[in-house]
Amino acid sequence: MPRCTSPLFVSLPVLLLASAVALPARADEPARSGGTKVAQNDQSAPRTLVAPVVKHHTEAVYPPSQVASARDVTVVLITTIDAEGHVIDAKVEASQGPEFDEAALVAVRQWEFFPAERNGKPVAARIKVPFHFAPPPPLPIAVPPTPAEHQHTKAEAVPAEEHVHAEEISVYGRSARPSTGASDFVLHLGELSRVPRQNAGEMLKLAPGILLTNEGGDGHAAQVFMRGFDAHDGQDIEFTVNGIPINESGNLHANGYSDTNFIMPELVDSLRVVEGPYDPRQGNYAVAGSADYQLGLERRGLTAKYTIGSFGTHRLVLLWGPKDAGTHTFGGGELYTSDGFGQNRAVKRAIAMGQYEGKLGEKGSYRILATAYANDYQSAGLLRQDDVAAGRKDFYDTYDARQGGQNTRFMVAADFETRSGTTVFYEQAYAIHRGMRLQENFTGYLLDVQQASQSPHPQRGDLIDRDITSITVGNRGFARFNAPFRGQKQELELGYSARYDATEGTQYRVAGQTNQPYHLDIDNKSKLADIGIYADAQIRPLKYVVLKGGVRADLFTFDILNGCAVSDVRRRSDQNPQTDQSCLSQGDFGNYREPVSRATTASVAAMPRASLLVGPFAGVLFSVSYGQGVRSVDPIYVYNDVKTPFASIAAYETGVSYTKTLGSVTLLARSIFFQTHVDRDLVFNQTEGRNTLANGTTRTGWVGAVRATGSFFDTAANVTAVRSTFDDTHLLVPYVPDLVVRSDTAFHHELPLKIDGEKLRGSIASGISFVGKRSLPFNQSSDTIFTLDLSASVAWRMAEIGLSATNLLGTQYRLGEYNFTSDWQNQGDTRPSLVPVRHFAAGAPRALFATLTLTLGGS
Amino acid sequence: MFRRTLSLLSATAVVSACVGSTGGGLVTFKAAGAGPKDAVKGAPLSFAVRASSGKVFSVTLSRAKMHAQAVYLNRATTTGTRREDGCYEAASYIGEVRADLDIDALDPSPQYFPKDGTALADRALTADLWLGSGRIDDFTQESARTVVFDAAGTAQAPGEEAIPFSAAFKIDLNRRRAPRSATYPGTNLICQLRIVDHVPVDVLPVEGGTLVLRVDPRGWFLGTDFDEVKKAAGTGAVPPYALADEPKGVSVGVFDNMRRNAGVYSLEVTR
Repeated sequence: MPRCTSPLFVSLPVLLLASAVALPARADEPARSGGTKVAQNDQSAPRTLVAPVVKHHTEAVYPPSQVASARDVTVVLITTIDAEGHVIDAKVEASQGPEFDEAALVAVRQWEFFPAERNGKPVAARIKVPFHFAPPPPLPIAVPPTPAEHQHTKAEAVPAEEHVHAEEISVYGRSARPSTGASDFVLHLGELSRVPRQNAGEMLKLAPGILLTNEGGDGHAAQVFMRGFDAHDGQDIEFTVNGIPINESGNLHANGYSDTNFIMPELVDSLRVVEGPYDPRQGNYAVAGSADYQLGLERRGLTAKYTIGSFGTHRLVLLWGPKDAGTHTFGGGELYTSDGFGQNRAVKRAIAMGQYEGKLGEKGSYRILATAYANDYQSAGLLRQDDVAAGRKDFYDTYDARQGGQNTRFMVAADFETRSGTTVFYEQAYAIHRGMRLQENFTGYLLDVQQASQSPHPQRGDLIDRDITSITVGNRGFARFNAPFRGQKQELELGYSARYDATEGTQYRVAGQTNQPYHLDIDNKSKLADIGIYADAQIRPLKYVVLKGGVRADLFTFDILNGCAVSDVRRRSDQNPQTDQSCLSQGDFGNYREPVSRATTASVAAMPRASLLVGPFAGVLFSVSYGQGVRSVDPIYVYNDVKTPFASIAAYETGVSYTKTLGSVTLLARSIFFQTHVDRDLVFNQTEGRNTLANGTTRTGWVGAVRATGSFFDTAANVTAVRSTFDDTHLLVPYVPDLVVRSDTAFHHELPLKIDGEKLRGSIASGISFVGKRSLPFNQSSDTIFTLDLSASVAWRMAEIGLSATNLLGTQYRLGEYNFTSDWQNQGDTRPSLVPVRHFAAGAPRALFATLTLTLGGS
Repeated sequence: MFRRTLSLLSATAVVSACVGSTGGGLVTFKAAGAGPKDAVKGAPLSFAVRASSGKVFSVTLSRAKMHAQAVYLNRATTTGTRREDGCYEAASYIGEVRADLDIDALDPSPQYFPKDGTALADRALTADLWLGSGRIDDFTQESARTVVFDAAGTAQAPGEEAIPFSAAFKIDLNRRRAPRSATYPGTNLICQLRIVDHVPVDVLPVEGGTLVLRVDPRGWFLGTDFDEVKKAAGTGAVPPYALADEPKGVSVGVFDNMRRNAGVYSLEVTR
């Protein structure tokens, strides 16, 4: 049996060079930002200092997206090791761009040392650790150790050669997913975390073509637009956190509903967005693409953060990361309350998240994650433009103050990754319990049309009251083999993912005057399974050519119990008629039957995916990708023994990325042309308050993105232009923006001010968004949106004060716009409005926030 | 792949996407009521009516008014039927004029509704004409007592004495009906009497145009036996003989005629 060849975007053996100089901190001041005294400054004592020595080390992974460029670079880290030999802090001294920097940081945080010693006693120390990244075949390169520059004044440098030797290390570590090409965005927030963001969802804006709107309130999932897709509540994007699926299969509100509000932004280490279904690991819902949040906490010690701001907003965050643990061991909690802007937008939420990472033998690690989330919120919903124009409603008003909802989400997960020879093994298991109540009213008093079988009634109101409870359990895993062939590293990964969702959902209509339910629309119990397997190979025939591809196949099974199967019959009973009941227990002529029916079905989807990456010149990577994806059908469309009509996606793209380091500045630029076809799209349906199936659509567009990182700044900008049309009519797909432009910029530097001998550090950051016109039904188009968010902060030792403003210009804008029919009976007119008119969800006005952050006992 | 790439490149050249359409459009237009084109403003309208008995009357209308409160345009093609469920549908209307207007059906010139209408730029194939004023499904309001039809004139058979008549119809408790059966309590609603539904039309609303509702009062008296009008008034009644404002006798036919969805009302769009 031929041995599978190993990959391209492989982890290259990393050379540890020279750790060098151990330096105890000054006795009379805390460690630089941690506040812990690490050693006594005893002037009389002999200064016998022994530098730390590497005990265990972890391989740094050559950044997948850089492999084709074959860059040969060295990242130098300033690493602080505590008296127990743990890495408690690591900062980049010599950058080679965010991807190399991050790879080095990830690795060094897992190292363990024999601690530095002074006079035979262990002390904290700071050393330089250079990471050399060389394209295969790797060659060990020794870099002479150098003293750390930022040592404390009275420390002594010890020649590194005496204590630490340059050596080639064959080590283990958590592997990164291979890049799929130009549309694979690994987003490390870095200093861009200073840009004002209200939640973890807004981190998505660092990826091109993302527009977030929300007509459902602060506790509702954001409506996500990506590359011309209206993913609405996220069902066209595969969302994961640490690889654990967020999309909720069988959610009555939206099959694939994805609410990222349970993620604390401070606990997001990185975000990987793949725009398009090009990676065999991408599973259900990867229509527009996928987004994976990787959790982590850089800041060690105890951190308390309090924010107060406009609209009665209060946010308290507590974070902790043990000094002797890595980034992936952390805990955190959040309490948040706000009255919200305008009417009926109050929200309360709490989040708790904790993760522990431990070693698994000599070559692996495991993680245990637990999260809890609960919220209660109000929603203003949509307003008619004619009511606002006529002064009947304020711009930030609401029609129905009962709108809003409540959410709970509890999740536990555990995973491990280990290595045997050249094979990496990974397994993960998780369980999620989810509760959700959602009350929405888009149409007012329109849909409650009198039926002949109902007692005479006026329009009672269209408030939808949905309640959903689900349990999700699942597991996933893979084995990744690699081996050299013809001097190049080749790789094959075999993997699976499996999940089971048991969901119960009801949808009632609630009367406006009595606030009592008067009609049961839906009563579903669903049991859904999705088991997928995939193979993904990376073949490198030449040094600068990578052919990456494979196939994924999923089996979807559906078992649906409809608790309201009979709502009407052709021949009603004359003797014992059921008139006002929503769900009948009678068939024709009044014959008794249970009001339920069960439907089961199953389907298989096979999805080939491939990318060709060519890097003929240093820093330049061309890529061409093709992939097919799938979105499983909403259980509401499942009929007994009928083949499940899931949506199929075919996507193509070609792109180029360019990386250049100029001194301390790293530049990364990309340009991508893409086209995506979906055979069954989803389009917003206001009468159902959700997206419903529509005809096939095609999107064609261009993406441009650039990020420049320097020693005192970090800036990113992206542009996406797209045209989305229906296949049959060639008309534009409504609601999606044709142009999205986003810029994030942060400047940070020490200030020429000192307090108690310690310099202040300052930062200023901005986020600028422009959203072009969105086509609306009936050949209308929305307004454009332009917003500016700004923040500034000053830090001193363990304290930081920040001010931020969202929508600084105070623009009164419409975040979401729609054309549909509604009748709110409040226009002084007894005649119903039955013709589509413009509706909108108001964007947030200017808001100001102040934040105080304190960190104790860490860095 | 080359063709695909080429198409991507060329398509992206226009991808600023200020081109294209989602189809249709929203338009605003004026709306008016009017009598038949052959009527003469200020002059009575004369026409012949063949009664169900075969007798032919020469009718001269000196007054013919109707009170409308809304016109809804529908893309549905269902014609020739009457709505049995509810008062209106939820999602098939493409245009509306929501305002009260007394229409003088003897005046062929446009009498404008006080508010403009709005519509999709889509073809309407039926229309609903809402009569009276106030809530369409309510008996109890004062507005329910609005006179919907108001007509007066004379009818004369050859060689016979002229019969002066008048009709003033409201649609309130006087026309309340029992549901069809206990199984269908939501049938025979008052709103179904107040709406002339599924009037066959073929109009395409245009921005800035005028939607004209033409009322031909000749249709109101189709088949009416005016001898019965006089007889129903009773002996000793003083002319003009008033048709009863309730569903009985000859009034039933006239009232039904006023609610006929074919031959009485028509819509046209002028620029």
